[in-house]
Amino acid sequence: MKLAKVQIENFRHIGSQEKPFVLDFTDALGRVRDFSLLVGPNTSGKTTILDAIAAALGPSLGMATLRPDFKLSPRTVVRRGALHAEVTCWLHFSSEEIAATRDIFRLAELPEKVLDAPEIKLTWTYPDPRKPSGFVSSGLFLPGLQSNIVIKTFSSATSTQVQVPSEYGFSQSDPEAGLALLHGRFVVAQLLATGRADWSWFRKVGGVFTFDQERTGLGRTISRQVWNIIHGTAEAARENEELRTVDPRTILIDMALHSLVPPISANGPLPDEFKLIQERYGRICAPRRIVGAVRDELGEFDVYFNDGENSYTYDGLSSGEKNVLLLLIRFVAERMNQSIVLIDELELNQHPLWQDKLVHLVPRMGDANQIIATTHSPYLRGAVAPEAVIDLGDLEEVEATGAE
Amino acid sequence: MAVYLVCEGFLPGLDRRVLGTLVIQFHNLAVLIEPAGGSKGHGAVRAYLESRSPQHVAIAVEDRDYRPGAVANGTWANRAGRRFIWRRHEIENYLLHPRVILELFNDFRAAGASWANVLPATEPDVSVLLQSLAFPLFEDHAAQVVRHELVQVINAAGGLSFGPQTPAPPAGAHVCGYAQWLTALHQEAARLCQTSGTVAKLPDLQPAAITARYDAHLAQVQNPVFLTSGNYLIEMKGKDLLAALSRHLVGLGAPALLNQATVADELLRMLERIYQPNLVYQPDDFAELADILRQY
Repeated sequence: MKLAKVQIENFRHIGSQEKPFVLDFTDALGRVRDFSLLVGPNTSGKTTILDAIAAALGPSLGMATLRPDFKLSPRTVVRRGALHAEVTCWLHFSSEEIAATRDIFRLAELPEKVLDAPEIKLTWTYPDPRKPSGFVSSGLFLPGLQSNIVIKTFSSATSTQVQVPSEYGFSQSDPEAGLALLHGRFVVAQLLATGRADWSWFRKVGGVFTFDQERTGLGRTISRQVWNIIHGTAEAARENEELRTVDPRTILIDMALHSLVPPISANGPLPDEFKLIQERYGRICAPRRIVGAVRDELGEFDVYFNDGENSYTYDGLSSGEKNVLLLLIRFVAERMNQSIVLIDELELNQHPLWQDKLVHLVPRMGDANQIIATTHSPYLRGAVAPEAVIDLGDLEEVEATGAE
Repeated sequence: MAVYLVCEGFLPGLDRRVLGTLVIQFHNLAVLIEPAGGSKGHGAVRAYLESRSPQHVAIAVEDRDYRPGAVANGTWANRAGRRFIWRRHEIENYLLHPRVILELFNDFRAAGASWANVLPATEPDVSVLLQSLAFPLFEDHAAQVVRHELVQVINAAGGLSFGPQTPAPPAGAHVCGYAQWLTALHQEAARLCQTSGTVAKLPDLQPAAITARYDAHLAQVQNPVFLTSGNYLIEMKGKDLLAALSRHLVGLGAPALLNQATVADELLRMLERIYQPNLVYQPDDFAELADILRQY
């Protein structure tokens, strides 16, 4: 799935009905660029544009696309004086992706037809113009799984019918039945839970992922066996023990252990996540590298890093290293492929050397991802082809006045 | 310790992106690229970067332009000089490799561009197309070579710019006064007049000699060997060839957005796809530069 164009009206201060704000992510031949950089000073609307895309696509995808501190309410989303915010997305799908979505629907025994539509136009209106509140009762809608909103789902023997609360807004697709194309990843996630599909499907169907400035959003369910190895059985024996973790250190150890005993899928062994992260981390942060998971003198598990001279644990990482690591872990752990990846401030806490490495490596991580990143680093901007840069304001001008 | 690579162009320039992709990222080097505008700024930028810390090293690489190939080769033979000249005319010339262009044409066809169906589909056919694009540029190229050579001739005779040296102040004074300056100004004016006279009589600058020189260069580039050997892709101005390629594509029906700059970036994308050190180019300036940078 690729975002070819977005049109924004009355989303916070961006666009209006009379003068919509339009961004085109295609190249001279109409192909969607694999990397686009939104460049502008503070308050130029970079983050708001990412929010608009995430808010518009999330409900139809059934994915948690919004950053955690984004509050979805008419007051915070709709421009003052306007009735609704509207975001229209033109989405492109490859023939392989359409075929994979059709296959996964067949595997899930879903009756919905997956259209052979290489482009769909998705319009999201907020708040829902049809009803002031309550649940939408018709049409095929999948939920936005935002952590702070409760979703109602209904399953029957023949269909996984999901309804979206109207507080998510209203999504329309052109062609009408095109929405099914957005549901592939959600269906895979559901089948995965029941063992009817494996992780390799995430290489075929895409979603939308958001990296906010804190690089939050990381999370992973750790098997009880591994949890016991990392934290000890006494801790795991606690009642109602939560096996889902957002702790990068624990996730890395989990990946390292999986690397030693790889899980098998229907299509053979899955990619070695830990090795992938090790390689990419070593590339960006050289001479720093991830040594591996180790047990310290007390028998506690930890991850060791080395800067070429000294070894140190996760707690000894700089903020720049932590940011890189959080980005790399999420890319690998969430199997971001065929997806739209929104990254706010790609250069966050990075030395220009690492900025160069990041901007080079990120578009090459995963299969056929579309990266839409923001920056206010003139250095980063200079590393990217001018055609891939979308200017939202003059960096030099703002810096000259000290507003930056 | 910080290692800098000073190049031509500006911050969002093509030089920076080519070097970043094929030298720094390909070889995973910890080197910062600093564009310095034209090559005249290289010395100042290098001096500034190295003055910030005794441990900083700045290495410069600049366009060859119309200078002879031997001048460029000489810089690569002297690694300690830390100043290198591309063996090709300029950075664009590295993108104009028939294999890279074929890759781009195939990419256009894969994208379903109907106008791309008439583009050459083999490397020899791409070479033929490039030769046909280069041919109309021959007279301009030969004239530029003549211009460069005549500037060298004039400079060798003493130069025609007025630049008196600051005279030494008299004993006990901190700056030189009226008498010293007047002498210096008179001397420089006299030198310039004399040089002008010498230059005016230089055989190389006589109309017949200029015509003969121009004709000789034109004959040289019009010799089929210049095209068939591929030398034209090394010697001629890459930007002009790239512009001609862009015009050709737009003439076939490609979108106008496919201008010279866009074609350059598309070619870089293709080059990155097929690049292998010492296989696409021999000698490979990118691989050699990476090898030099790795020493620091």
